Amino acid sequence: MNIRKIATIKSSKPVAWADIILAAVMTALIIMLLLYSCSTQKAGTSVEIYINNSLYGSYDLMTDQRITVSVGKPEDGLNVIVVISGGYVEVEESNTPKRICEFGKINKSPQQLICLPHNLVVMVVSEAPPSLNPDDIVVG
Amino acid sequence: MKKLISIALILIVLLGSAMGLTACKPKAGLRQYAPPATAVFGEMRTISAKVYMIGRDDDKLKTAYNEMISELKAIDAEVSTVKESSFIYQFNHASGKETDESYTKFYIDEYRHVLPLITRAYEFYEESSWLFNPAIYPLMELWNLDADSLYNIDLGRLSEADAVKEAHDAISDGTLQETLALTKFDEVITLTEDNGRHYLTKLNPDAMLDFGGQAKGYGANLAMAIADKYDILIANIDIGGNIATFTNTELLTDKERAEWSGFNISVSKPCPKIANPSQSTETVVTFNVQSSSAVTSGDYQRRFTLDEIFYAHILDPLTGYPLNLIVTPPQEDGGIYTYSNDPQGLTSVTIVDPDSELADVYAKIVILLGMDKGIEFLESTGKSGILLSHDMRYAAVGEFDVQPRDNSLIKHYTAVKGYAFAATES
Repeated sequence: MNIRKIATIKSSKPVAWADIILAAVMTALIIMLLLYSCSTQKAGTSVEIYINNSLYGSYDLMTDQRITVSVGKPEDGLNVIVVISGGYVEVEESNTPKRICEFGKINKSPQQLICLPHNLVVMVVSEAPPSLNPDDIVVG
Repeated sequence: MKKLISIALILIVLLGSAMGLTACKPKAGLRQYAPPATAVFGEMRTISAKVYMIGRDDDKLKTAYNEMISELKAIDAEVSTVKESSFIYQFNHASGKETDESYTKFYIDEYRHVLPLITRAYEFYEESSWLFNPAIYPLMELWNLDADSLYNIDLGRLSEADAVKEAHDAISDGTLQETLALTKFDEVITLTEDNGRHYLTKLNPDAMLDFGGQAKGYGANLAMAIADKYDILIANIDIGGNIATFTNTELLTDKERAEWSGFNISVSKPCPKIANPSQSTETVVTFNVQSSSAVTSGDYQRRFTLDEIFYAHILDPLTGYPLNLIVTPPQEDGGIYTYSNDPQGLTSVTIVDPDSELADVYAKIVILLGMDKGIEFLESTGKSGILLSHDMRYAAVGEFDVQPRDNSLIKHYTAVKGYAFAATES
């Protein structure tokens, strides 16, 4: 190795201030992104299906099931199949004339899948955080 | 310089990955599991179980829930009166004569739930002087209170008026008295043991069993035992109105123990909910429990009405008549039976006891006994209950941690002397 080059390396500072600032900024950025992600997306506990903003049904995200959602006029026999499996929900198939659905699996609140043209929304919801003061129970 | 930046970036990526793996994981704190209600009993008219649990482990919560629901469905599979594959259905519909003494003899050890249920049923039958009777199913059919008839009423195939009129006819022509003879539990059905094997025998081909009066409580007991098995901290189950709660205080931290206030259970105002849905959430009194069960029997729900007389779904096994129905025979030749309701009868009885099966059964016994004898029964057995009568009297028997609410309606009731809630006596 060139002696001058070795001398240059030896004389340079091990860590420049610019490096430290860059590392600190990037670390802070990653932490903020992670915290944001965790605070806004809670693990879902159930799935709510809405048609035209009306609740069609609520389903346990932990129970594997296939839900046939009737859309449009009953005589048209149009269905959207929503599948809950392994803690994820997805729109598996649709026989609606315009198959405009968001496909893919979701499992965190408030992620949604939307199917048009019937404005069908599949939404993952999360229960309120556990409380040691549960709601009152009414008997009788 | 470039090398250092590269090293820093690698470190940041590694750090970020490590955080990513851990930051979104469930915290080691409390986890709640409260899935939607699930049908567990019945076929045409179902009874649902609603479970609420708090624990620390999602897997244990889910496993406990699945086991609870599976166990409740297993009970139904054995004791359903309408499912043809169930033991009880086969028992009730068997009529082949096998020996001179018995008509049908069933080996029951292959069923997990029948022996514990029938064993306790005999105990309750004796203890209550025959007021608890799982052999009254023929009477239920006569009053159209069996599952098939109720389903037909739901669908409008049978009107409530016709259902009651059929029973009136059975009273007039003596059929009800004949049917009563079929319901003497220990005379028509026997439990025997032979070399450690248990048998249930019908001594009358028309004898029938129905564990509807105790199966929900029995199931609630099993569910809470499952909660304990899986280290669930706090749980409650509501099986068609039968409430059981569970608290594992040993597993709570000191802080959690201080924060945990137990379950507040309110007794609803006894009024026909279908007729007056706005009053359905009004409560009479509230009490607090940690690990216990609360079961209410009442004459205000699931009842038929004809000519302003109501016919409760609870039958008195001694008379064959619905609870709080007074039947007056004809006073002269050619006269007719007349019907009225007991204005002083009990309308709601809530039993609070750690044993949900006992609470289930005792609620029915006490409501049939009436106010004075009901209090006497609870005192003699050392059990707790809240009794409400049609003439607006109440009695709180046993120890209660009462927490009166602003909306409490108990102020409209007069306490039976010596049985007021401590909080209302001051």
